[in-house]
Amino acid sequence: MQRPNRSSTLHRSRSAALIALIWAALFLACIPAATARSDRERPSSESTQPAQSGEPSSSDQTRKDKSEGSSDSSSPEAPPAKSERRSRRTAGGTTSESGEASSEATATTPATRHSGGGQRRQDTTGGAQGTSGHGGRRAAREGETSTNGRAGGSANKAAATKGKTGETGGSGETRRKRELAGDPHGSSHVAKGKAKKIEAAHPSSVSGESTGAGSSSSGSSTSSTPAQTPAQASSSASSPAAVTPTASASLATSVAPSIARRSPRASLVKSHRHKSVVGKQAPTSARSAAGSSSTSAAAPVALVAAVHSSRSKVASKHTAPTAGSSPLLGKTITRIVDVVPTPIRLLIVALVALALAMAGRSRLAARRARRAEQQRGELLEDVGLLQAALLPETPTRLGPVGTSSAYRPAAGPAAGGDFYDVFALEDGKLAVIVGDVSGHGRKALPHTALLRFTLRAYLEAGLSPRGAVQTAGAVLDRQLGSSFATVVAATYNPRERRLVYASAGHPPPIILGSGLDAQPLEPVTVCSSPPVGIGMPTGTRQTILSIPGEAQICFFTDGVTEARLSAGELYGSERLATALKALGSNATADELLDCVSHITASRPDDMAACMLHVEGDEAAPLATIEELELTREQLASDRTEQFLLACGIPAEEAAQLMRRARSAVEQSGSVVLEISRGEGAPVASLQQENLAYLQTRHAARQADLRVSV
Amino acid sequence: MILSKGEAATEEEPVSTAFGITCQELEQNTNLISVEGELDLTTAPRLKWMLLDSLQEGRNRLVLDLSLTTFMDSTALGVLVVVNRRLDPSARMAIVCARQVVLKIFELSGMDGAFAIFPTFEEGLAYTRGTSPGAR
Repeated sequence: MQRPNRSSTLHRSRSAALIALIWAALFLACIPAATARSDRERPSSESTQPAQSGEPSSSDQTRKDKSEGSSDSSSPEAPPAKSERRSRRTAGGTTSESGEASSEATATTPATRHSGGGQRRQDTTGGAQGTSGHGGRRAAREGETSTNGRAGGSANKAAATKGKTGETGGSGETRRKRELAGDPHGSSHVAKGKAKKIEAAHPSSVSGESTGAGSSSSGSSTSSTPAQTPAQASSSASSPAAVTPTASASLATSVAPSIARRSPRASLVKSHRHKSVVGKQAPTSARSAAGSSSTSAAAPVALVAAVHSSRSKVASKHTAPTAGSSPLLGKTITRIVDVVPTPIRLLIVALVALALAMAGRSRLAARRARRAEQQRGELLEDVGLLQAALLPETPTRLGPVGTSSAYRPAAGPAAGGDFYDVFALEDGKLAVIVGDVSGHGRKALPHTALLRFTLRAYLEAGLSPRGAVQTAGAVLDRQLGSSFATVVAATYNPRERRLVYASAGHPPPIILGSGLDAQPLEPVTVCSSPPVGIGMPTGTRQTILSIPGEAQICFFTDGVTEARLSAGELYGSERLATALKALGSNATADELLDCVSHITASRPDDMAACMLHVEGDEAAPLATIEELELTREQLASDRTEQFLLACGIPAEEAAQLMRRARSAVEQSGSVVLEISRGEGAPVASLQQENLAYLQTRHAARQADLRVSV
Repeated sequence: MILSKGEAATEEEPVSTAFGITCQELEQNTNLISVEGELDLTTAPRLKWMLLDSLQEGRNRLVLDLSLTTFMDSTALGVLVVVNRRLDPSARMAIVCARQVVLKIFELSGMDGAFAIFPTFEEGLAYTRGTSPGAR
């Protein structure tokens, strides 16, 4: 069925969407780390710490002094790893010294961050850098040589700042590369991360104050400037941005290599650690110190710290007093977007699009599944209605007679051929129809309805059971086509206590009279009428029974008697009669079929049963009259004689009857042989064919018309 | 000459569901088809194809030997009805059956008058050759 396919498609779509979303989320998560790293790399003398932490520690001061000296001595053009680190520290110290420096650092931080992010990306991807950081980096590279020479120049501090940013970025990039070459642990990542952290801490100060800071810083003390410049240069030389002005930053720097050494992993992990380090440093120097120490403690702690750092990042963002009025989220997003290189951007966009497409697909599949489920429910409802039309609910009582009916469809492909009906006629009579259409299964369904309603109509019109079967056989022969049906139609008159039934290729009903030694009546089955629809005239046999006392009359289909026991033996009509007797006089058709179902192992055909319970005293039913319609073909064979003998007519009388019958048929085409059985010897008589009621009415109408005309 | 063979019957007990169907060509354009076992929903179609194939080949005299057939349901009866209809005026089909079980089935269904049923093979063969007066 479609269902499994549909659900599996749904699962696939959903899982694919989930996977795409996870990848996109991972990528997005990497961006801030990369950004932070690039930030760390770029700014050399930038310091965002003052805003973050407020006061640098004394240790920072000491470091700053040291860095100053070292920065003086260090040449921006020759950035060995050590000097880089020192310059980083220096930068940290320098920035912490002056707010301007810090602002400058802040100013450069964002650029650094961008470039750092870009750089980081470069590290991670090693691909093109399409962000502003890239451009800045390239510019920085170009300007590096010049800037290195102009380290002391403060003329275009603003531009220099930017250039430094680019420089820093570029130099940082170069540095980082060098660092990476020299130090596979990528301490540059640490600085970058720190730079990012600092940038995050002061998002507001980034844009607005860059130029101002640059200029201000340029205008600031020369000491700071040269210190800054070399520091910046050195820091720019050193890719990891010495933006962290606090001692914690330097601590982190010292810590970071150790961390990096501990577990040289993917840049993502490193960035996290750096983030954690930087993040811890960001809020307060003490905190950062603690953070760095803790970070140096263990790598997993660093990961946890990464989480904290992100939180502290946010906190520091909030605490930034110099933060502008622009929304944090917008700025962050802008920064992130700027940092991300184009291919990554495209990849993320593609992933998001893929996730959306998968989500849409799963939604469509879900909707389709829901609709299919709804349709299935409606179809089942319709099937239920059809089934109710074909297998009617019969009353439990019709006058003094208790009635019941039951139906069990076949388990296999043969299901759907049986039909039945129990209904009231005029004059207090009631009628029963039970039949079985051949060619089983769904193809038989329309024929079952046709036969049931046709026979019902003829019986309700007043035809005798034999007349109804005969007329239906003649009318429906063509309609039934290649299929045929066995059927038994019966009427019961409670006033006369007479049951009249006509069978067409169908098993006759089992009639159980009351009484201890009651035996089912043995019907005469010789010369049975053929089924309806095989091209032969049917409705030629009829039996009239008198039921003086209490009795059970059970009509059934051959699916009951042809069910098999576990050994393969047929259930048979004898066993059915025994079961009926055992169930008692108040048994219902349902109980009977349940009994059969329990005993039998295989039931390849439908089972249907209709039961009448006639009340009365103890008395055995009698077969009153057996009718046989004779035609020329019938008389041609010796079946008629067999029939007479089976009814108890002596052979001589039978032969005589045969002669009389032949002459009667010669005269009028057909004759009905009636054999009355009861007390004493059976009596046979020949009756003129009692024309079907409808035919009589039709002929009478014809006569009337002729008369009127 | 055996034209085709079904599975051979493995047991002789009455409740055996083993089914076997064979076709034997006789003289005078006659085919003898013997059925052993039960003719029900699953096995009746095979009989149908066997009979129809014979008619297709132009063998218009069929003797269907049901002496060893133990059971027939409405499907099998339907097969016989279909084949009977396909018989052209010159064709003849005789059914040989002596088992009471199967004869009773024919009788109950009212189709014993529709087919030419004979108790012995010889009588059936005579019928197909037109040398017997007719079916029972």
